[in-house]
Amino acid sequence: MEKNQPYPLDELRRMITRLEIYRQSGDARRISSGMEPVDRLLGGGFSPGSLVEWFDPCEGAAAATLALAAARNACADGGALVVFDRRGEFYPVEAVRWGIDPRRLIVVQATARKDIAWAACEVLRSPAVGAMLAWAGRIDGRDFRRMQLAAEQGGGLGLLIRPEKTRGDPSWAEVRLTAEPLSSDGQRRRLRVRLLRARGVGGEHTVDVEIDEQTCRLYSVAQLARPAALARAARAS
Amino acid sequence: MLHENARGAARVVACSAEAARAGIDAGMTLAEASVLVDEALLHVEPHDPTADRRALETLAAECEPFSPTVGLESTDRPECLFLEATSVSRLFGGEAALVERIADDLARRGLRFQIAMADTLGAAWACCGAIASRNRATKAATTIIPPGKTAEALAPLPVEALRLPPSVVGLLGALGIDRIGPLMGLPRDELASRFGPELLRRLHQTLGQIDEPIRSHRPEAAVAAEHVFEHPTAHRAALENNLRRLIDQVAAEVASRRHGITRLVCELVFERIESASLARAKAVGPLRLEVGLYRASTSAKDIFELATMQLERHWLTSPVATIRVAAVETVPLEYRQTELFTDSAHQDARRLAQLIDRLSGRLGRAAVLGARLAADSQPELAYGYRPLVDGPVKQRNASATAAAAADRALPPRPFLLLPRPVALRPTPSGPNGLPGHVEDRGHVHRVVRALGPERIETGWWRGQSIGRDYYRVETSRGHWLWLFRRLRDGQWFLHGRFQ
Repeated sequence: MEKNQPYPLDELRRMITRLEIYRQSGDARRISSGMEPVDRLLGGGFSPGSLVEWFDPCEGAAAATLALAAARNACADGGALVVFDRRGEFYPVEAVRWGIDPRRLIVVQATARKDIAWAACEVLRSPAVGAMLAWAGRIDGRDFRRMQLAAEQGGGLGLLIRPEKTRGDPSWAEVRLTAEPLSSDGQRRRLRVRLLRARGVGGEHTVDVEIDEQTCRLYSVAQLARPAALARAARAS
Repeated sequence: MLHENARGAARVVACSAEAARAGIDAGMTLAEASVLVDEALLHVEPHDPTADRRALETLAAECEPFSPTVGLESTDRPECLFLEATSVSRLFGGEAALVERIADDLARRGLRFQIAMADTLGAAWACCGAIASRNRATKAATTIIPPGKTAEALAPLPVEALRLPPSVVGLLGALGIDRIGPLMGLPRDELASRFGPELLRRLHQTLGQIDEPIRSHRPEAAVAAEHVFEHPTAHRAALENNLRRLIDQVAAEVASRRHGITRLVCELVFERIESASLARAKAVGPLRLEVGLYRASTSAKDIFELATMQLERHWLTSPVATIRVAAVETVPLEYRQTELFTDSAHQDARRLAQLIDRLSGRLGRAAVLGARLAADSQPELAYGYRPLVDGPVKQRNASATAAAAADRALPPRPFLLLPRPVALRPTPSGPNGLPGHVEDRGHVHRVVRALGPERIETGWWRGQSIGRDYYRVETSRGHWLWLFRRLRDGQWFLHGRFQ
């Protein structure tokens, strides 16, 4: 190999990145994550027909709230939200307060892993579904791949909330994020969102987010520099 | 005049217009009635409810030229006929023209009648009752409530017009609620707990928030088909082929009646195997597959898929001798459903129904649920789940749902609510008298901050008064938990997690 010739693996990586950027720009519709800085990094938001993983480093952080904010946007054009609630703890009242239409909310309370994997594929394959929200532990590689293909076919968004221990597992998710709790200002929950992986986005990126539970909106800490203007805008909308 | 023995006396059940003009009324004792008219003119017969019913059934059959579905009121003593008019009124030149044609026909038969046309059976019934009570001697009267004006039209009518049991009417009367208007203004969720579920069901039926199909007066035999194998088989392909054929037959027959299937049962009857060694029969019960559908359907392909999905989960231990398929629940198809699903909203609704059917078929009806919200301040009673395959979950009403969704004034609630509040072990006090530590799923969390309290005091009318002070609590690890202190004894509970 000549000394000035680029290393083949680097060249291959650049080609894949170009291909992914091209693919992103070809898909006009994006689903907002609800967090402006994350949307900017992702070229407008999540791709319809893809899987998104949220890792919860310490169970009880706000991954579900962030996932639900994205689900609300994915269902904005009338799609249904399907929630897999194995423990029977999902509280629909709060989901409705966040803007989910209860008439288009389906709660699946299956417990067998095989049944959940099958049902998740069925849900993601349906074009009537805007988003699927599931708390998932370990996922079999073939099931994961089937879910990704099903999401591509259906066009909805698959949101998976997973424990930190599964972060090293092979994944078919297009975007992987973590949500780590930060000490709050005494009123609002504050989180550090880390974008671990996304197509066409190099390296890790970090955004600090606050959850305004009164307005059911997410603000990056930078946005909060102008709280009066934002509060006024929220009231106007 | 017709009479029967009721409440210890012979009482008037019905009378002619002449007798009514003389002041005779239903419910009056025969002795009271007889003094109001000349005895020579009085003709009294015992009441025969069976003959009444037969006469009404005959009239229902004679009304069939005006409607594809004619049904009798679902009571022991029906007095009313229901005609489905949505799909046929335009054939008669509109609703008014249809009512006029029916009125002419009934008048030609020499009958006294009231006709009401409305959005729902309940509203039409209420209006007929109101016409009758306004003028008992009226020979014929008609009224049409314009589409969407049901609530306004019903508001001035008495609560009896909702087809309520006398005990509920009495209770409402004792509280001074004698008209439907004020009743509609009361919070719906409290009506059920105070007056029983029947009041809410009748009110929702009358306002069209719960479907109330017209049950045809002609008893229709359940549509069923059967195949008996000449040689019993456990071969999957052979079983599935025959199952498909039977479902095709049943679906086609149901469709020809302008109905859709909501529940279908398939039975696979196994061959009786003679055990040579024990010389006695080994009986294997039939395998029963039940297919429930979210939306009434006549699509044999979809129903077959749901049935085979269940069949695949069973290991057939013996050859199958007979397959039986029966549509055990059918409902009249909505007029709109008989048209093709044309726009994308209908396409989506159809696809969603298919998804619900498939999920319910494999996971069981109790695993695929819809949420119904209730205006109850006790968090665990503010919602309920219902199997979606039993039909769409009706919310209080669409605008209330949208308002609830937009109601940011409701204090924040956790996304995860424990099915039962968990009592916390006493720990040294933390900030503002809260527990210093909270144990949750094996982890001990130190409480650093709390927002609250939000006081909830409710449930006294249910006989179980609830008093709680809720706090949103931040822990040293950044978790947010939802705790409450029971006012009665100061005991702390964990009730939810903000995730």
